[in-house]
Amino acid sequence: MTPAPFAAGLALAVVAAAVPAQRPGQAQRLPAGAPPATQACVGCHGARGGGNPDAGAPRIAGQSQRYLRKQLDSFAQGSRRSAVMQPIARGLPPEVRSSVAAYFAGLDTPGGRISGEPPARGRALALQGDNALGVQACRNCHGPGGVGEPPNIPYLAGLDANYLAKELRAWKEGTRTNDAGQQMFRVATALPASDIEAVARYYESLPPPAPPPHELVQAPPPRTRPQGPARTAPARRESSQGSGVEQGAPTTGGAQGPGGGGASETGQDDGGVSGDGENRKEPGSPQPGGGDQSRAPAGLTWPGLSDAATKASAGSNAVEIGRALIESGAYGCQGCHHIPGIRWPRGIVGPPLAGFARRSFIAGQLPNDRDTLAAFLQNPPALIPRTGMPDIGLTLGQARQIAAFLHTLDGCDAP
Amino acid sequence: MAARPAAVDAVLIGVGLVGTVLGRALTRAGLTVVGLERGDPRHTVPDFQGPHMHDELRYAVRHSLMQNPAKETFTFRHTLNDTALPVRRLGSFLPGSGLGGSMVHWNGQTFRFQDHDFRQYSHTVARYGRKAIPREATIQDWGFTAAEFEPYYDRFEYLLGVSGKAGNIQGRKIPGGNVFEDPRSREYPTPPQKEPYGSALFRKAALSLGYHPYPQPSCNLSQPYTNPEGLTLYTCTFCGFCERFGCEHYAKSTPQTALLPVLLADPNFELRTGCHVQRINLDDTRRHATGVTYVDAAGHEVEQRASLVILGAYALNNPRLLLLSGIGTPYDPKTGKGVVGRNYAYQTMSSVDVFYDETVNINPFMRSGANGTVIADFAGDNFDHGPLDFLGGAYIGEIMTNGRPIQFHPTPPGTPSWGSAWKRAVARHYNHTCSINVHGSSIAVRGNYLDLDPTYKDAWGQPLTRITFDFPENDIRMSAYVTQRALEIAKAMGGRQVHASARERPYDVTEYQTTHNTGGTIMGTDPATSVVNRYLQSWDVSNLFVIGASNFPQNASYNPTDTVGALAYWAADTIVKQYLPNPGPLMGR
Repeated sequence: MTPAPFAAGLALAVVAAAVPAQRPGQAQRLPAGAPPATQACVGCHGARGGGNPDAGAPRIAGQSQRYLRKQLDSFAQGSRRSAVMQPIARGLPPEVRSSVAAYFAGLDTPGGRISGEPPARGRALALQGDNALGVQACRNCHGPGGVGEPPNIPYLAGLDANYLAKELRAWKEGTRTNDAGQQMFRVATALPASDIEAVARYYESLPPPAPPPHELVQAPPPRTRPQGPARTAPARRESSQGSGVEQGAPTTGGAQGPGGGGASETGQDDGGVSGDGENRKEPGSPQPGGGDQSRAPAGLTWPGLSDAATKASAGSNAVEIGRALIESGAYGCQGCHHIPGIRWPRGIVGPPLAGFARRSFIAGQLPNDRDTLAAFLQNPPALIPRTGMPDIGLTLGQARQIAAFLHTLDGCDAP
Repeated sequence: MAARPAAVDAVLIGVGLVGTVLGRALTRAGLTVVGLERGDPRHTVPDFQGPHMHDELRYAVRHSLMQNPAKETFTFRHTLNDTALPVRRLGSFLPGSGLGGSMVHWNGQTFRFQDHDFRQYSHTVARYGRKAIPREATIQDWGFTAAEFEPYYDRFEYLLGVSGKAGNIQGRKIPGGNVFEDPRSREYPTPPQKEPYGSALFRKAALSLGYHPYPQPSCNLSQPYTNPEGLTLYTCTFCGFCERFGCEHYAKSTPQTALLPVLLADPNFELRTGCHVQRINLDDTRRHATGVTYVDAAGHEVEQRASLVILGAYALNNPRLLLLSGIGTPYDPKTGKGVVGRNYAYQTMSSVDVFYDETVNINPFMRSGANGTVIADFAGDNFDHGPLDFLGGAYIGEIMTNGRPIQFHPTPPGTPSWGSAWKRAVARHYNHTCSINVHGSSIAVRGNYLDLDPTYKDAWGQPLTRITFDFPENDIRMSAYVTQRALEIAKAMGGRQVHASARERPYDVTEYQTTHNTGGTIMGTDPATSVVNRYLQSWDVSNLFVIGASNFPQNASYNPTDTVGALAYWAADTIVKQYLPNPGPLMGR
């Protein structure tokens, strides 16, 4: 349901007033029902999917489930490249990619950065294109105001300019090849660097859209709905599409250019795209890393951060609180790091943290003492500008608690 | 007193497909060329832009890219005994106007004609005997063979980047392509477009009946393509706004995307828009053109002198300008004598609808202008006409182009045409209906022709073209037979209900059928029965070349654009290699 425009505007105004005072990623309270695997995402993209420009993580809230799922598939297959995203995506089974995508697709997160007057050249390219370059207007596909044409075409409005420019360069260099018709390759190839910057800054200046209230095309009513908690992915396709596999993916007789996602990337058409209650039943889907997680109600409902902290602070123990902060998943530590005692996920993006207490250096550069570690955790790029570890929005107190926990890790490797 | 700008080497009447191809060839040969276009200049950027290019009311219903009938139209009658009346709102066909011509709003269906189309008279006599030719028919040969013409098809298709699958490369038949086609020298420039679901259902059904389905050759490209002129086209997005619209994605091959930018950058070329050519001027011998007289956008008369005149207007307007200029003998249907306006032909369209259960989603909106799957088993003379009582044929295909909201609402027969029951039926069937096209040939007959209307005039005071036309009996029989074959395929497609409607008389000029008007300045090897020779040079005025679908002596089963483009290259090649070194008649009278 969409709130009344007035109420929405009011809410936006209130949040907007509050947001500038906060650092990215702060106030990460996750609603009950977010899939556990979201832990792998929130560290960089934020619990509400608002993104973290300084970490190079784009806003993903309200992008369509289909688009987000496809990007995860592309990272897993290599048609999009990212040192961080590729191992994370490979670690997520297809059903989990869908549920994570559905979660972020359903988020209506205020956002967008005020970046001053957008460049006229960027506006001209976005709205009109350039006949001499043979470049069509971005708006032709990405919609008026850059709001996208879900489910296939993403919104650009309010995305970080550095991210947009980076992606245009990736299309141009051929390191991103996951559009079906190579349109983006052609467009990006034709654009000089200054135009890439200009159009990226133009879209950054626009407000991002709210998630669409529902899919544009209503699926026909299901004929048979599988009963029981264990709903497999094919059964869900059946129930939402209503007419079998041939309808799910276009039957094709012809080659479409190389780099076209192909059926494996785009053919998966999961149900429950609308981000309503349907997705909240998702935890029934298989999870990697052991069945005990799925038996633990706390792991499923994902208590808000304060709950975790409250529970832990009963022992008044910084180590326990630090451990609980990590285990809550709200900061996504385990999305990148394999951390002893934290069962899942087991990230491989950053180094494993087993035996961390015995290490001499943090990130190979800083002395590994408690205070330095806490300062580093609170804002890694501030101390090591080229680190891949983002500012995840910890308070100094939280950073100290996590540092306390990390300094208990002195075993060799205890999974 | 008309203004008289400096003389140029060549003047183009119309800057659409023909004007662009000829302009490029002639400027490359070092000639100074002026292109006169009656409509506006238009380019992908900024004129064809989303989202307003997807305004169905403005473009598809109100024909924003077409000739404006309030200024210039046609009159129509069925027979010599009727009084023709003006077409005040375009209906049966939609001639384009403006830079790029009709090819801006075309669908992109890019078929070659077959050898038996080019030699319909001699081929029919050889295979079935003279008696097989209907008494009223005035069909004749074009003056060349498919083998002679192949290099020009090849060149044009590689300019456009056509997406398709060959069925015959240098005599080697290739299953999955059009196995009936004449040998082509090489594969299509780009692979076929994706096959929509409804087309896949058609393909399976056609295969089950022993036919030879193949992907429709498309100028909505399947992948990026850089043509020999150095221009790059993009991949079609299946947006469903192709025919009657300009393409905002650089994905439809048109003069704008495939050639015009190169021509416009040539210092030897000058484009003048808003210029309505009134007549081709002749010298005292009336065997030599001195240029043209046009009225510019400000209403001033201008005489543009030129050594060479290229008439490349819309097919219906080419014969008109010859008649207005007094070039060639007007055709007289009573005596059968004269040539200008002779052998006007059209195409004979019909369709079959397949209505499915709600479990089958066709998604008609996810289409391009020239996607889909067709069979040529019943095109032209690809099947034995011995036991049949007609000539010609049709290709059959599931080639839906769109699911646009105003004009696409198929309902089964018996549905009320308005009210709540109609609305329910539209909602029920919108996403669950396939339409199969039967795209049929049209023979030339003695009574179908073009001349100048005795009564009605255009905004410049010149007589309108008068069209006298009804479907020949031959074509009605052809449509009945091939539509029946399409119905059999439709029944094999697994729908709940099928409905066929073969073409019937009388011809309805208000209902859209196809913009494939042909004839009126037909080509041939005998000046008694043709307006231009096999090089498209006027028999009467040797420095005038008339090029377009008006050259077709009769119309084949396939869409004409590929043939028009190849004819343009054919004529351009002849002009540059034979005419310019030695101006004068290329064929003796």
